[in-house]
Amino acid sequence: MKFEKNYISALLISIVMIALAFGGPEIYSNKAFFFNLIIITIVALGLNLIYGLTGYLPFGYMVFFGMGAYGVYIGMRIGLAPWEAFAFGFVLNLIVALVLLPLFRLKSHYFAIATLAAFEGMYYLIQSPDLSKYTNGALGASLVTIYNPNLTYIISIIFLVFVIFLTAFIKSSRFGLSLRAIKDSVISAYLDGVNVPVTRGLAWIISALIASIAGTLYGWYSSFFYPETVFTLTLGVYIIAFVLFGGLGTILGPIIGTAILYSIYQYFSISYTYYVQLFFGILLIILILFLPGGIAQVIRKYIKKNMP
Amino acid sequence: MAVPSLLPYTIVIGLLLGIYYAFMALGLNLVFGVVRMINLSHGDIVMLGSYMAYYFLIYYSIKVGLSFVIAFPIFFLLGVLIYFAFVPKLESSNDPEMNSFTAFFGLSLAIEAISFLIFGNYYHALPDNALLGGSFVLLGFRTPKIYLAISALSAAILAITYLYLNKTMLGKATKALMQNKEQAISFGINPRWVTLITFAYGFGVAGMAGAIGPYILGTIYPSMGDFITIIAFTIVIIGALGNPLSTIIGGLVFGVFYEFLQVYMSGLSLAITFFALLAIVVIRPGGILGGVQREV
Repeated sequence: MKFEKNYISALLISIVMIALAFGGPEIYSNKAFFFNLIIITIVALGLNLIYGLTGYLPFGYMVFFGMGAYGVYIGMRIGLAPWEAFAFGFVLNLIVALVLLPLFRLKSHYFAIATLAAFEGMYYLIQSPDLSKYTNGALGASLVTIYNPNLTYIISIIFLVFVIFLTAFIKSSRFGLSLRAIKDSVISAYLDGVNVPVTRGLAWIISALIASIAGTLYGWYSSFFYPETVFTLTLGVYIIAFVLFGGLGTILGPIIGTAILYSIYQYFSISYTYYVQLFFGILLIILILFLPGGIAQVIRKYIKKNMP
Repeated sequence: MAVPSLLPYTIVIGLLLGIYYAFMALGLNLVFGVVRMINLSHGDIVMLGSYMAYYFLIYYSIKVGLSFVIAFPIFFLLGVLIYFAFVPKLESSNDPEMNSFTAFFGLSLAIEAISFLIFGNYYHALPDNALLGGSFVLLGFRTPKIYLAISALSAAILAITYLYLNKTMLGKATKALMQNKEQAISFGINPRWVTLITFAYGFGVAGMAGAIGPYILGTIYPSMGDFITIIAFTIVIIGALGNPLSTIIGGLVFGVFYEFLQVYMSGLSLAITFFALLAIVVIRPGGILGGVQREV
C-alpha cells in the first residue's frame, strides 16, 4: 500500500517537473532560472534524504556542491579528457564523503558543526593562492571548452527524475525503514538487527553524491564560476529552510518548498538582498520554534480537522 | 645590526592576542555551558558591539574604553530578551541541541541582514588613539601599544569572570549546574534563574569583546560575525566545551597557532584552521581538555 503510494506520487511529481522544465521557458523566457530551480530542487532532495530520514543535519552540505563543480575543473586542469574529468570529480567527492563518515560517531549538533568546518576548510583550500595551479584560486574556474547548455539541461531533468524516484524507493524500502528506526532510537534499531553504521553511511554517501552531481551539472551549465558561487553557505542554509518549509522527510515537501521559496529568493535577491536574508532568517526561526513539520504539518492538521 | 628573529616575536604576539581571543570566545562557552546550545549568533553579537563602539565614538565622542564598559549592561539586556524568545521553546522541542543550532543560525542571518540595512554596506575602523595610541619596540619589532591595552582589558574581564565563578554563591551555583544539572537542582539551585543570568552574562561579555574587537579582528563590517563565530567555536573546542575557564588555554593556543600560520603559511592559514577544527571535533568532541562525548 505504502509502496504504491510513494511510486505514484513520484511519477506524478516527475511529470509535473518535466512539464515545468520544458514548458516553463516558453512562458517565462529565463531558461537559467528553470535550470537553477532544477539544480536546487535536486540539492534539496539530497539534503532531505540525510536530514529528513536520519535527523542528522549537515550544515556544510554545500561542500559537496562546490566540490562537484570544482572536481571536474581540477580534472580538466590536470589534463584529463572530459569524461575522465567527470569520473575524477565523482571519485573525488566519493572520497570526501568517505573521509567524513566518522562524523556520524558524533552527536547531531557536533555533526552539524563538523560539516560546517569541512565546508569552510574546503572553501578556503580551493580559493587559496597556494593551490592555484590546480584550482585557479579566487580567480574562478572556467569550463568553456565543454560548454553545452542544452545537453546539460536535459541531463539535469533526467537526474532530477532519478532523484525523485530514488527518494520514493528509499522511503518504501527496507533501507528507508531502517533509517527511520535509527532516527527514532539508535539503540532499539541496533537491537532489532539494523546495521547502524552501514545504513547511515550509505544514506550519507548517496546524499553527498546527489549534491556533488548537482554541483557538477551547475558548473558545467554555467561554464564559469568563482569559489564563492559554488561554495555558498548562505544558499545552503536557505535550502535547509526550503526543506523545512515544505515538510521534512516527504517527497513533495522539499520540491514545493524549493519551488516557492527559491522563486522568492531568485526574484528579490538582486534588488533586496538583505530583506531576503532577513526573511529567511526569521523564517528559519519560526519553522524551528513553531512549525517543525513545515506547511505539510499545517495542511495535514487542516485536513484532519475538516474531514473526519 | 643583527636582524631580529621572527620566531620569538610571533610567539609573544600570539600569546598577547590569545588573551583577547579567549575573552572573545568566553561568552560562547558560558552560553553553551548552561543551556547546551551553540549560539551561532555569537559573532553577530560581537559585531554589534563593534558598531556600538564605532557610533559612540563618531556621534558622541565616547572613547572606546568607556564603550567597553557600557557594552556590558546593553548586551546583558539583549541576552535576557534572546533568552526568553528562544530558550524555553527550544528546550521543549524534540532535539534541543540540533534545533537550537538552526534557530540561532536564523537569528544570525536576521541580525546580519538588519545590520546591513541599518549600518550600510561599508567598512569602518576604529582609530588607535581612541583607546591607546603609539607604539613600542618588542623583541626588535615595532609593535602598536594597542595590543597591550587589549590584552590588559581582556585579562581583567577573564579575571573577574574567574572570581565570579569561584568566589560568589551565584558563580558556584553556575559551575555546579554546568557540571551536573540534576544534582545541582537536587541541592536546591534554581536552574531557571542561574541559567538566565549566565546566558545574559555571556552576551554581555561578547558585546564587550566586540567593543575592542576591531583592533584585532579587522574592519567593522555587517558580515564579520560568521567568521568570528567559527573561530570562537574553534577556541572553545581547543579548551573544553562547557568549561569557561579552559577557554583561556584555548585562546592562547589558538593565538599562537594562528599567528604562526599567518606568518609562515598565510595562503593556507584559514583552510588549516578549519581542518584542525574538524579533526578536533571528530577525535575529541568535548574539546581537547574535556571529556569524550559520543553517541553510537
